[in-house]
Amino acid sequence: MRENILKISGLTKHYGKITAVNALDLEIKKGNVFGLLGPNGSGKSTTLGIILGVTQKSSGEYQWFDQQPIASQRKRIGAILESPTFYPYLSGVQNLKIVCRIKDVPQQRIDEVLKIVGLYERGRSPFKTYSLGMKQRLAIASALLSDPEVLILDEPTNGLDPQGIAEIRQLILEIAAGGKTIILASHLLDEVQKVCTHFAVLKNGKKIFTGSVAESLSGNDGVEISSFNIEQLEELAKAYKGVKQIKKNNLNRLEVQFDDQVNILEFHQYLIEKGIVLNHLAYINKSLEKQFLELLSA
Amino acid sequence: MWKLLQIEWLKLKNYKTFNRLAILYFILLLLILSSVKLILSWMENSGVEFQGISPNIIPFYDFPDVWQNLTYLASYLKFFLAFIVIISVTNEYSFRTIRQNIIDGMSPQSFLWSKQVMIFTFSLVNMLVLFVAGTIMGLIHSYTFEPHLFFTGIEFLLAHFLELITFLNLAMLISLLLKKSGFAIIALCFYALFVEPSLVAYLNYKSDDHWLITLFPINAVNNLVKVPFQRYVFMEIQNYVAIGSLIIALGWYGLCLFFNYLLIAKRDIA
Repeated sequence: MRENILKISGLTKHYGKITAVNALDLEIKKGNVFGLLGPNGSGKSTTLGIILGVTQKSSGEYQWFDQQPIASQRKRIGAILESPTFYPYLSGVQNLKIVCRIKDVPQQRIDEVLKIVGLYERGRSPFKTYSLGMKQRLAIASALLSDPEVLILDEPTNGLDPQGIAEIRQLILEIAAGGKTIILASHLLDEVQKVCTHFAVLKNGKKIFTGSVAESLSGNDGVEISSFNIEQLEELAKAYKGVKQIKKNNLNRLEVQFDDQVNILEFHQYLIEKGIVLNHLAYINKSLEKQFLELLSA
Repeated sequence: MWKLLQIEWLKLKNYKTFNRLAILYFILLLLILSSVKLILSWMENSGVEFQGISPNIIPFYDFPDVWQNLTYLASYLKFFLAFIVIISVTNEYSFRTIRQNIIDGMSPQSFLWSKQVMIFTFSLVNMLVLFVAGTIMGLIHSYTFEPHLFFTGIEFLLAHFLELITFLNLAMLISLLLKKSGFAIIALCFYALFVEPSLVAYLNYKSDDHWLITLFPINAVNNLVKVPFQRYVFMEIQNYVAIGSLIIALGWYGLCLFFNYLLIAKRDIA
């Protein structure tokens, strides 16, 4: 049994008549890269706000490192919530000096973390002159400052360009490889699928699913096929016993889903016997996105 | 405590608005403290007389008068310090840095104390400047130096210190409530210069020296050091710090501190 990093039980938050978080239970173990998913307004950020001490809970409990929450625990946590927040008139380095003081970290760490996020050259410029990507990277540098056991990232790639997204993703993977626990709130499912080991889905403040990413992605979601005679292929596929659903996609290929007992070899044999030769056949990998949308619409 | 002071200093020292306000404040303070003799001799040259007395022989800077005179004059500048406090507190909300400070591991109590340490430092520096200025001016202008005269009335410096920390905590309370520097500055001035004086005038009109008047916060801090200047035209003044005023001001300080704590610790920090 691995040790608990975070344990949430029955956590609830009301804003007037609205219940933003509703009796939430969650357990995050050491070394997990945990994705917190949910549409906008599902309570992800409120939950993170509560466990980080800036939002008052209405009821329920949470524990960090199996202890009742106190401020000094947060020195062992690196967190960025929503947009990067710094003193705009100070430089990146000056801002990090304040964080060093708060977290009781020696100032030598500043240059190290700035190098990790690739901001070393611009560390002395005022924060207000930074681009969004640089601000986001400074936020990550700040979160890494105390070499924290847990990293909490809320929409870390928000507003970044594709290159920036790839860099941040690579950074998260490197940090996770070092055995750190990461909590990643995002509505970019592709991102969660690429970096997370576990995930939970929130909807209207309630947890509707939790599990491991690997299990959720095992198996496949049918096949993608095409042929020179796509119309005939479609008719033949429709006539085949055990085919659940056929859809033509943007590449002019057919996405075919089967019942569980269908053997793909027999299906292929059937097509060849009917005079159709495939020029494309590929399994469709399961995606978190699809499952997520199914969960939400249920 | 030392750590909290360092954090506040890191936040302020490279902030242009703070530097400008602080420099302006000290220039005005030193000007006010040092120029009275000049004004008095100018008045004499213009032929002004106070009930037959030449203005230039008024012992403005003499021990022990100097302490009450200087602290009274300096108390007018407390609004400048209040603006610095308001900007420092509201900035934390408009930049959302209070949120990040707490996420980074500061407790709401520490945040409150970091601002208190800042307020204490301002007030302490102010008190030291007044002490040095009073000593220098007193030594230059007094006819004789006698230790017991030097220390007489020095409690006005402590009263001034209490006046500042109470007033600045009131400014902090308004900042926490309004979260925007412009609103907070206007609200503080509007209350201190219009709302409370109007209420006081109304109560005075209802009955002379209504007991409620001493309880108003601005009145309470202003009452610590009473206007001393009528003594030079042979009128009686209160040349001591009244225990009642001390208690009321301390009460307001405690009340402001309590509400400041509630607003930081018990409210969602958006």
